[in-house]
Amino acid sequence: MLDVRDLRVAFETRGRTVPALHGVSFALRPGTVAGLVGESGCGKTLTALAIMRLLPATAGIQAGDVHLNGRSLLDLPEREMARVRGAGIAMIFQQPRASLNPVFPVAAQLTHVLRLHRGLARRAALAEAEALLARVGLPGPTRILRAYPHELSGGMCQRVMIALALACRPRVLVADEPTTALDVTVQLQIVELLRALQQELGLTVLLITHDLGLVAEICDDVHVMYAGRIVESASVEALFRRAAHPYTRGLMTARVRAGGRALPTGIPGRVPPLGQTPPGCPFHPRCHLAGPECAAAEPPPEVVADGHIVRCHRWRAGVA
Amino acid sequence: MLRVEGLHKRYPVRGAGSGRHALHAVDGLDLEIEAGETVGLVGESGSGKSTAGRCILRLEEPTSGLIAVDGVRLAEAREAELRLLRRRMQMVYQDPLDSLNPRMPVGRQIAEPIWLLGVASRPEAERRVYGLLELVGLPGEVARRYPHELSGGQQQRVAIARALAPEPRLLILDEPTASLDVSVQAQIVRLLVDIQSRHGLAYLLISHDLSLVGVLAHRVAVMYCGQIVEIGNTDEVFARPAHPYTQALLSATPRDAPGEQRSRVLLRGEPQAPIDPPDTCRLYARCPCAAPACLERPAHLQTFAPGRAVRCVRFLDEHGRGVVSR
Repeated sequence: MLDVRDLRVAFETRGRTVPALHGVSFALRPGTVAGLVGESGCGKTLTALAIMRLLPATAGIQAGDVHLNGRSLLDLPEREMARVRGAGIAMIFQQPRASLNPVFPVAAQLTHVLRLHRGLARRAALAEAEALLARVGLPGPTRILRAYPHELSGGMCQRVMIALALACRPRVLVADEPTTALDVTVQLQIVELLRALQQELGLTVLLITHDLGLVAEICDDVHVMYAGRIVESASVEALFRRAAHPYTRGLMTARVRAGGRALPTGIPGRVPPLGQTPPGCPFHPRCHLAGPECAAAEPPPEVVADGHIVRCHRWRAGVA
Repeated sequence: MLRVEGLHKRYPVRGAGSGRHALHAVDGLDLEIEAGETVGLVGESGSGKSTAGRCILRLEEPTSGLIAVDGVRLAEAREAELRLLRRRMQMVYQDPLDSLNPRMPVGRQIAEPIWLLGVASRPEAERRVYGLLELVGLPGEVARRYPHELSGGQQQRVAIARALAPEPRLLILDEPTASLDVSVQAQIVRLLVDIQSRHGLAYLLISHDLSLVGVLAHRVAVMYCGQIVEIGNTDEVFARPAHPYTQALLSATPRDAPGEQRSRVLLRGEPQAPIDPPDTCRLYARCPCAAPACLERPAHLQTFAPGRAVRCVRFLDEHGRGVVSR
């Protein structure tokens, strides 16, 4: 389905090259939801933007490859890539209102996409737009079609974004923190909607989030990122039952848990800023298991179990 | 130590049809906090929880209501008294970078409230900075740094040190961990618990994060559209929420592990701004348990068990025999 191999992205600033992604590899299994998890600055969004070839002008792909159904996306001419965005891979963002055009009503934005990408006539596009809005659970779709983004609430804007993303019948949906900016009761509505759509349409979803609770809620597979690398990949059950990387385990204990009085533990120190990644394993200065080999060399991927991969010299010491 | 009675904050609204309209941001809030106690004020954006916090500090002038600290009423306090009361109540904000002065070394920012509020002389204040930094787990050399040189977690520690500087009795914590990374949030939570146990401070924790409130707060007050809809001991409210809104909030908190089964209370739609709200239930249009009776009588916050009160006509009809009106 979607296969990302050894993706390396760097920022170019004032003649200096600052690497941001250090060889990110993962594959999405068709019809599943994969979570890309990490704290801010670990490279989650950058990975998604690189896949979509929407990197900011200051960033560039240095090496690696992205395959969608066996076709390399990085070599496509821009015109064909534009077709892939939408029909192949669609993306929704954290700030739904910021991703909609404020000066056009919803109808114009939806029918524009439908006419351009699916070649529908005006009337047919309008009918399809209305059907899409109903599909994402918006009450009174005819009224919403006439509305401008500022007249809609955050949750409604996110539903419109999802309708837009689905307009071209994509195979893969990249959802970047789709619920973070929403109120909690609305978050739950959007999670339920995404889950229902994913199952009905057989979508493959890459969910970018910092929230392990959301991962437990909706994901099949998880990839944990730290300092521009994937440090652990596993099925969601394996990760929650037996996380192997000390960072993943730290994230688990750092969670403030619902219904518990237990104080979260946290991880000492902080995520290293871009360009100041320590040598060796990037996590070693914060790691309670770290030894001399951790500062000396970056750990290679090791297989913990079938489908469970970790990059840590000392994972065996921690799993016990 | 802090007593709030009938706190109202209304904002005039224009362009909502003819006549005078008002947004009832905080609509009759009653709250008490004891020394050493943490009360969580939870709600979604627009529920009035932050406005309530700002009114308590009189950063915002309340429309009406009584606020008393250690028996002294804020509204009647003269300038000198108000200064003394301000010493006793300090606030920690969500985004430390927004609340710290970018052009002043953090040591001076921590010392300033000490001598400005007359707690100690200026040289003494500057000496105390190091003790305060140590209290929040930062090395003394941080005093010479500027906020932008520090990480988010360190900045929030500085903001806490500055809030503690004038020796307050109450800290109002407005989403104190919301802008921080997960691994750093936990450090701040531990710090807050540690400081409270050592100094017997009272905390008013304003947050949308029920998990955080569950860990920190002894009692929780749930706000919806400007009103408290449920209040009680945190463990009891979390174990047996009485109000459908509390149930919905609790069921919206993420699961701890995959496969964990959870009953779901899903609300329709989104919160409406409380402009000229009715005195009947404000959740009615979104509530999965709404019944005709809900529109017949005003919804009052009523005690139904020791230390627990709820604002739900249906719940009180079903469970609330011998209820005491507040």
